[in-house]
Amino acid sequence: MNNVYIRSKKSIYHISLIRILLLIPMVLYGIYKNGIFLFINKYTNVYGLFRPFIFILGGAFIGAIVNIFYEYVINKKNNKNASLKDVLFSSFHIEYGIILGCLTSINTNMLVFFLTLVIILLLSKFMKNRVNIICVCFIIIYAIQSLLLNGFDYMNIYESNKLFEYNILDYIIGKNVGGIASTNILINLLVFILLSVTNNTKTSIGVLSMITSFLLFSLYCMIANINIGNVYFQYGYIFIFTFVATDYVTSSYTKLGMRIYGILIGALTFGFYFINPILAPIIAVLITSFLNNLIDRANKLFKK
Amino acid sequence: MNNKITIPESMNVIFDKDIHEFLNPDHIYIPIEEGFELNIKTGSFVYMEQVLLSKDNIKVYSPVSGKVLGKTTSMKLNNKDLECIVIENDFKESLRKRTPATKYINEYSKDQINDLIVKFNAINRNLVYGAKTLVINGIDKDPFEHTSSFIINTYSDKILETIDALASILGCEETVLAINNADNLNVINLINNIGTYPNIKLKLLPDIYPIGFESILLKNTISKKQEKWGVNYLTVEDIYNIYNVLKRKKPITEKLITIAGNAVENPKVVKVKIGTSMADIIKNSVTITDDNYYVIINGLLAGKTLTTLNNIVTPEIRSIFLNTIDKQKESKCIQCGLCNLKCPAGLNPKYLKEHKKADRSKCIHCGLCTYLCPAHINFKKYLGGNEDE
Repeated sequence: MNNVYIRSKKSIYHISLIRILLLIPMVLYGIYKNGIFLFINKYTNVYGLFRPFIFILGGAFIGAIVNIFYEYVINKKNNKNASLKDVLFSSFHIEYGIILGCLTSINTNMLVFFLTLVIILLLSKFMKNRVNIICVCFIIIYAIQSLLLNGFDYMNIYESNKLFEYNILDYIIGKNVGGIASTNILINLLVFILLSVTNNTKTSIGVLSMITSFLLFSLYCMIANINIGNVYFQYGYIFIFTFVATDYVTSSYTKLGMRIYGILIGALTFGFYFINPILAPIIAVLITSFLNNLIDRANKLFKK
Repeated sequence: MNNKITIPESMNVIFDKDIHEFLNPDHIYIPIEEGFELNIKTGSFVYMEQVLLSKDNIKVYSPVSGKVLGKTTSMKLNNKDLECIVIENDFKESLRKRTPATKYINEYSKDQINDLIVKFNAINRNLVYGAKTLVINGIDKDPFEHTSSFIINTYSDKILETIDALASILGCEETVLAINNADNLNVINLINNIGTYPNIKLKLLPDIYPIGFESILLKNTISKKQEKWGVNYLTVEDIYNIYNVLKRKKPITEKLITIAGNAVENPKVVKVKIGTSMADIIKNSVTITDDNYYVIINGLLAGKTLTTLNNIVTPEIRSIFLNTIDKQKESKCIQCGLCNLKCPAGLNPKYLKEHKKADRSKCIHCGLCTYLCPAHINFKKYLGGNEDE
């Protein structure tokens, strides 16, 4: 009988927990930029102070509730003796909630944000994990916000009241316009290094998507004589390559597959930039995630 | 990602320093394998090392002296029912004829060595004549096993003498003894003694799993060119057996096994008679701390669970573990790719799990994919290598 007697300490719980913990520095900067700073400078009230916190914590809360509801109510037959810890971290939904909170605009309608999260995260439990859920949620929020409400705008009240000329340093420390907690490139890259060192991310996907897109955008900016910062460092591309593209469940898992996957995301991001710069990396990840099985099979062909 | 995997849990197991012995079981069970001719009768007396069964030039010897009680089908070999001869031990170890020890083992010819090895079941493989390299594996297959390590530590002089003699008789140009660089005692021991044998190269290999497996060890020890020219691969246990055969001309009827696991208070390496029941060994060798244990043979990573203690020790058994089973529920695969990236055979366990017709022949059944999987998928179940399932 082939039983299991010993296991590595690395489990879905550990991976998920480390990824969530490493998101905290990004979250803290986002809360400062879109909450504390605005409150101190009297651009917003107490509700505005807590607004970024509500988006991020609310996202995590919905991820947790969806996991609990699914595992204890719908899938209860298989979870008779499961502990709360196992149920909470039975999938990466808490992380998805936090990432969506970080990615979305501070001006997003809360009802739209939370309703989309509840519906899509719950539906995803019944799907075969083929599509990147973060991308689906973000596109729906973006579409509702742009088409039915007052448009999708990344600028907070302070940014919309002034005119800025950002330099590279501003982009690196995240002063620029972007999602609630997805703008600080310095923290983002440090977190990515930590995720790589601790083997809690698909490093090659993140690195290759960043490099490919950076090279393409650099070339374009050189030809068009545009400041690369205004193109590449806007809209949280680095954050998306770090946390959304490397989603464990919906990305390729073979060595070569991950490389192709990363390059494809980088290239598609560049391509879609000319259609919609905000959605470009999101659509790139979504399309590539559709193809992840094919890419992994292509890996086999290359070996042959 | 880092491709080297160490099994940190194995560092916490502290073994008794000496080799223990359990050489006086009440009964010995010798499996009657297909095609073997019975050379004894029920009720007759057998000497120790007397031939019990034979088939062509393969012979099975009695590990003890005593009375043949007859046949039984109550014992098992790797969970399979098997007919065995039962010998009641008289504890006298009577020998029909005592052969004097040979003084110099390097005076044998190639043919004489081969004859003796075959006659006395020293190793379960054939020596390759004309091979230019001799590789000796001094690393245990499983990180929780200590059998090879204890053999080197206790019999290092004999091991080195035999390797040197064997290499010169077989005409090997290069002789490598590979050991684990984390095995500090043996590293010091061998570095101090190997100077006497300038032809033997000591190769220190990293403490990674599954370095003790033949294909992985060879990949890390010799070049592809050397592999093409032919390699004689032996383990230190084989060398110790060859030493006994060449020196004393006595068949191999005893073996060293590791007894450990989280239900064992005092893990140790024990010398036992081949054919002893596992129940006897466990009862007489170790103190059990947790009664909810399972009996696992040949390692915690690659081993398998025995359904009953009525299994017997054969030359293939390296270890017995009394351990609890990890009963964590399998989750849906998260596509982390660890199984694929870390597979020492370069396979894709996830693909093999999903495609039953895919070629599994390259799998070395090391169990690393199962150990690593964060979704707790038991790949061992899907990758085969176990006929009784």
